[in-house]
Amino acid sequence: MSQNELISDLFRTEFRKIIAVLIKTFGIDQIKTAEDIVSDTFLVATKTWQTTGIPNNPKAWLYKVAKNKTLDVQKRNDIYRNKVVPDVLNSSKTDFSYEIDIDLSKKGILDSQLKTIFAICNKTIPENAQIALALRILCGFGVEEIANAFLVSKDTINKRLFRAKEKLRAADLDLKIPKDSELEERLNTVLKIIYLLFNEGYYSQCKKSSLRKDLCYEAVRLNYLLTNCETTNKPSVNALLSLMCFHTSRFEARMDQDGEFILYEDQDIALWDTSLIEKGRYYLRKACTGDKVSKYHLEAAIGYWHTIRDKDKTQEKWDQILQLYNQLLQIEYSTVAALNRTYALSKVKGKRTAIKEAEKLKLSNNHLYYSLLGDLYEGIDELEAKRNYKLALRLARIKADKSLLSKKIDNLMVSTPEKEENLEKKGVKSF
Amino acid sequence: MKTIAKLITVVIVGLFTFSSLAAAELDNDQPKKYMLLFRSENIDHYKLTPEQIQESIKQWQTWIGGIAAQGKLVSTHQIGSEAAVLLPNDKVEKKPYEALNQIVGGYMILKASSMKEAMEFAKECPVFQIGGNVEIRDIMEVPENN
Repeated sequence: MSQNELISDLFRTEFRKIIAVLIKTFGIDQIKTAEDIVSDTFLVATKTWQTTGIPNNPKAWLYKVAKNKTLDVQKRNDIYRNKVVPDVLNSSKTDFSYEIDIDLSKKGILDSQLKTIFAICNKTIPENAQIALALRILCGFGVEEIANAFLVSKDTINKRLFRAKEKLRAADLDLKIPKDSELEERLNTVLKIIYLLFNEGYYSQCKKSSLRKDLCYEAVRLNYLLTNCETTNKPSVNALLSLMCFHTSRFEARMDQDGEFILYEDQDIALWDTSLIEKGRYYLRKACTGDKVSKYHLEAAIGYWHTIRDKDKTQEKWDQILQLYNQLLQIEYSTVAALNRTYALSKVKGKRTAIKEAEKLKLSNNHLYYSLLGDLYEGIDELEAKRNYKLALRLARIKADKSLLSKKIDNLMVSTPEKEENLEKKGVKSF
Repeated sequence: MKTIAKLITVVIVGLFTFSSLAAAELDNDQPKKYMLLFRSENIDHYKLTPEQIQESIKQWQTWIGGIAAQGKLVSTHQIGSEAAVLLPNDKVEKKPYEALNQIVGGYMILKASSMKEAMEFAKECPVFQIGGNVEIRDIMEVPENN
């Protein structure tokens, strides 16, 4: 491995650890200081290793340099506090120095990271800023990568990060893992941000597949940290992890080389990641304790059923998926859930029943709505199917969606009386 | 695998009803709320086989899910069998209030633009299959004090 590769690898894994520990050392109001120290540390590493070669234990080397830099900053702060401030205030109290604690042990890092997660996933800052800050601080992403992921300019991200940090400073938070009655609400905010981060990667319009996948993995990793701490290892935390494992297992199968969507029913099962499916099942079992069912439980269970492709279980599968969507919609309405529920309904009660229900949804500005109607009308009224696909095409914005719809319209024109078997194969974009 | 399937089934059975705060925040052009009261004969569940109970739950859930999918559900609950009716002079009747052989078995609050629309939703209610009925009442909103 070349030195550059090593440094960028280390940056990926160590940046977030060191910065979390430093944020814990300095306080959440000093994110900038912590960021500067870590960036500086990597800069020194790049320069020094060029002349001296790579040290035996690069990680320990980085930790040591970061620690020394922190002590320097601390010393300067102490001088400021002990000499400058008292002079100015004309105070007699001069001893402000204290032992500083820079705990870069495994346990110390986990503890710092968890506390930082709770500080960043904070309702006082807008959700998109929480995500950006999480990517920067908790995942060690560069501003450019974040900008690429959100499809906005670097400038926008910089401003967003700056404002978020200002708000955090003003909020004057204690760095801690919430307990008891406070925990549930705070944890919900954290899970929501992890969920959004994951969706950002999974449904992103960003062309770079590797970047999208990174976002998904980062969400999984943050969620995984929460399962490693007794206080935060709650059923809903396991449920979200399970759901992300199930989704990620289909990552390779759901998009072709040109970045076009492959519908669930058409995916090559050989490309599904079985080890992730197993992990999803493991965390789903862990989630099924306690007496509360979160939306993540329901979505994980839906994810579980999607991994079942045995022919003899098809009926049971769609039956269960329909019931799960019924419940999900009662906890939290979303257009995607409403559309997917109607698709499941067509699998259980047939297309005619589903068409009646679909037409009540009236989501007339949503291309997926017309795409669903098009699908439901296939085999029943081909003209209606075509009309709906065309409406969907007019509303679709993503290239992958557009080409999928065009294909569907073309297929309708060549073969009018399609076989039942083929009709079953086409679905709305579920996952 | 079997255990998971079982657990998921437990999740479903355990979740007969839910209230929906999220749905309540949806579209403001439907300001009216209606309450649906489900009445039927007092049939104890133990007379039904587990399969029949499952089937009944599915029917109710699919009906409720259809309303929730339109973003019109505010809340709904099944009402249990533990009951007491307090009467004047400290009298208590420890059973549900029964009129014409029927008791209230559940309720739903939904959003609809008119009584006519609320009735459309109620038409498909599974309570009719067991000879029950649905009473629909509009909900009086407290006027806002400015």
